[in-house]
Amino acid sequence: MTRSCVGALAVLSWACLTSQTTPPPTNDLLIVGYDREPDTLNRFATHILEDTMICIVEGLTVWNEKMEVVPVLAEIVPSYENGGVQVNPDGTMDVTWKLREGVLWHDGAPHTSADVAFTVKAINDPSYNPESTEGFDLIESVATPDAHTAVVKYREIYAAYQDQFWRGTLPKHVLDGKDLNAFPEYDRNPLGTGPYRVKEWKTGEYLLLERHEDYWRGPAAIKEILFRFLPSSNTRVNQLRSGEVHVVDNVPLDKLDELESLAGVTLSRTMANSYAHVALNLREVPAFRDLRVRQAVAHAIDRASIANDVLEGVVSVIDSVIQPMSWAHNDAVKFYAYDPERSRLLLREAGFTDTDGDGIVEKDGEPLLFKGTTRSGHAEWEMVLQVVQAQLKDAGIGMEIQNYEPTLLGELWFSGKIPFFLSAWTLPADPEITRFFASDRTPPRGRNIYYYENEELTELLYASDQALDRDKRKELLFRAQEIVAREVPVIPLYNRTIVSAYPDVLQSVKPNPTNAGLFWNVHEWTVADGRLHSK
Amino acid sequence: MGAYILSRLLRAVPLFLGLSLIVFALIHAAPGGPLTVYLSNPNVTPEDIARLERNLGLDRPLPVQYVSWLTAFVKGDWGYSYVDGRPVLERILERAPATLELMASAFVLALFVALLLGSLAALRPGSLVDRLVSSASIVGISIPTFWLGLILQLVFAVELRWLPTAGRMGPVGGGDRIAYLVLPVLTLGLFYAASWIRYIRASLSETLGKNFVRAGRARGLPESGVLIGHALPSALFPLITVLALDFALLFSGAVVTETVFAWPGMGTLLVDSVYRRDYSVLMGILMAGSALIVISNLLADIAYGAADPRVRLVEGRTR
Repeated sequence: MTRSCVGALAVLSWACLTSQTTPPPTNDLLIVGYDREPDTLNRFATHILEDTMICIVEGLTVWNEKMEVVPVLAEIVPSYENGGVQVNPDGTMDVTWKLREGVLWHDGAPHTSADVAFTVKAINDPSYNPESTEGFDLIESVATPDAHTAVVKYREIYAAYQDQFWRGTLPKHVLDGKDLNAFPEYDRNPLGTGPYRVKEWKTGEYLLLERHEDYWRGPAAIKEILFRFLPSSNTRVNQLRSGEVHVVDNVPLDKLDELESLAGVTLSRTMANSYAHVALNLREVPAFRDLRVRQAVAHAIDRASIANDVLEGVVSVIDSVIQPMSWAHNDAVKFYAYDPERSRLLLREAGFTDTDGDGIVEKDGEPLLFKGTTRSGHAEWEMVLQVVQAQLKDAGIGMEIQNYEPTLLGELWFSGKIPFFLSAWTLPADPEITRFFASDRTPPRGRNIYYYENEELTELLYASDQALDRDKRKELLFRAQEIVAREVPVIPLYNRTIVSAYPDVLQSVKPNPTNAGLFWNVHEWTVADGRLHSK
Repeated sequence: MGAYILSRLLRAVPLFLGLSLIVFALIHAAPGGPLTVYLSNPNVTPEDIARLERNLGLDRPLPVQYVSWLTAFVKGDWGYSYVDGRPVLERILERAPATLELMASAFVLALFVALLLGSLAALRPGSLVDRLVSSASIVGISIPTFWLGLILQLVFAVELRWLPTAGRMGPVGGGDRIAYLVLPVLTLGLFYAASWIRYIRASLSETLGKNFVRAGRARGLPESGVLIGHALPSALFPLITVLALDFALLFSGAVVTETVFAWPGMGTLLVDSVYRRDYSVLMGILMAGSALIVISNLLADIAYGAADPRVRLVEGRTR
């Protein structure tokens, strides 16, 4: 038995002594601790746009770190001003995409306008299962007068056309005639034009990318990128601390303290195109149909305290539903300051008083009491909701917390059954907000989960969707934001901050506020510090 | 023996049928579905959802979906994942080796530790060693697996940097597989070791007082010979059922351990599938789990027969 013990200890010691050989970041290898495994690398087939995909498959455009649309595989971004967009007398709209010449797919075939036309045809095929057909379903036809020009004809004016091909194109020469719903070879190893391609995908463990030596912008500096799938945030942070991974994106805010003092690691904070908010459901809570009650709720929430004390100043309080980095952001909308006295006064004006002395106001014997919900397991939101609950109580408003796991939450959320919901929207770069606030866009037609109806707002929003002139569209969206802020069907709390952790020696990282993600310019990244091993 | 095994397997068929119906009903009774997660994307329209439901067959009545699944399942077609469209069997089989590796290693470790400490405690009842082992086993049973895993990570991986934090083995600079196994196996194995120590201690204490053990000593056998050759085999006999059942239950412990250590096994696949309501993968894993329990029980019966010649396995019963 003693011999057995000694043997076991020997195995453990040997394992310990031989294990820690994870290399530091170099231009040979960068290791990323990634919070999930992609379902697929086909950018059209998933709801989650992965950092991994953007390294492989490039769009005609991308959103840069300033949230501007910039060309990638397109030579220029078509616009009304540069003649790339033309509105026809019959109300249709032509968008001319000029493609960059000399771009090759990873197999050496040229990237052409035929790929653009094939992509539209594939997405609009009713038997195919792309995640979304938005915008594509408005396309009537695609003309390809030459190999590097694609003229996309929309049945009507579509203001968000610049984002149409940001997910990229599908390679016609490989996918034509294939059943795209059952073609795992592409889903797991897509043919792209990007700086990297898949070297190995070990399910449940990692995805290893290797650089494409014939990349049209020249080979990337970093030879291989290893994405390790680490769903547990504790594990990701622990691996960063132990040096087993070099990069972690979306660091949970509650882990910041642990990482602040970590030597050799940069923690970047990026204002995201995303905002945490409280949605008031006017259908589920009749009291919310009274503007004074909604305003009372807004005045009862101390957003500055939440941003500065609870979230330690990492986030910024916002008032508008279009975020500050957008060209359409209006920073002069109505601001509801924390004012419990004003809140109580508004409630009294609306007929709510605390007649039974239980601390909760009533009207006609009915207490102002509702259920508040957020996603269970989301530590940040759970904490904020508890603070909101206490603040509302100070103003005489009762809220009982009932949180749900994500899938159940999604079901209740989009069937409009959550009375008071703390969550966040992460928005596309295009500032369209019609789906959230137009009266006819309640679920399932849209995301008006507030069941808020306002004819003027609806008209403004639909007009903005048809406005190709940016100044005109901006003016319409400014007015729409003013109405939403004044009417408060939703109470914006704070702009979400993306925290990324990466080595100090990693250069040219430009964290992106959109879901283009951290890796959108990975072709520019390089590891300095004199440890360059690449040839 | 062959007839007995065949009979047991045949009797499992209606059990599987009933189980499949219950599991199917339960997972479909849970709110949400495979497409719910798409709703959080503001670009997804109701038309998109309707199209996906139609193309994936999710718009059919539930009884039709069940019969369709069952018919395909008995023909060996486990269906396709709603998440990535890959065959369910392929997804399970690529994860099964990691889970079996973890479970088997944890089982062996737990048995080794339990035998060692349980025997030490039984040999010296009431001693300091006995009290320490008993206390340790209570602590071991009481510690939540996920907490123990995180503590082991912090101590051995983050602070001491002796072992990797998580994962199975990387393609580069990842060390060797045993190093990656150590922490998950310790986390999973120590809980079961703590549980089995108490069985072994109790069983061995009782056996050591029996006549055949005293007879062995009286014949002049060394104490180690008495213990290993006579007392332990007899004491372990009742443990066979516990071990067989616990081996199947190790799968549930593996779910937590795999999540903490990003171990690419069936446990993490199960968790993902539950969150995503990936019905076809869930059905596949749960049926595989049920099969594991049936097979473990069968192996326990066979082990009984092998361990004790007085037990004969005959068709339909054990006597």
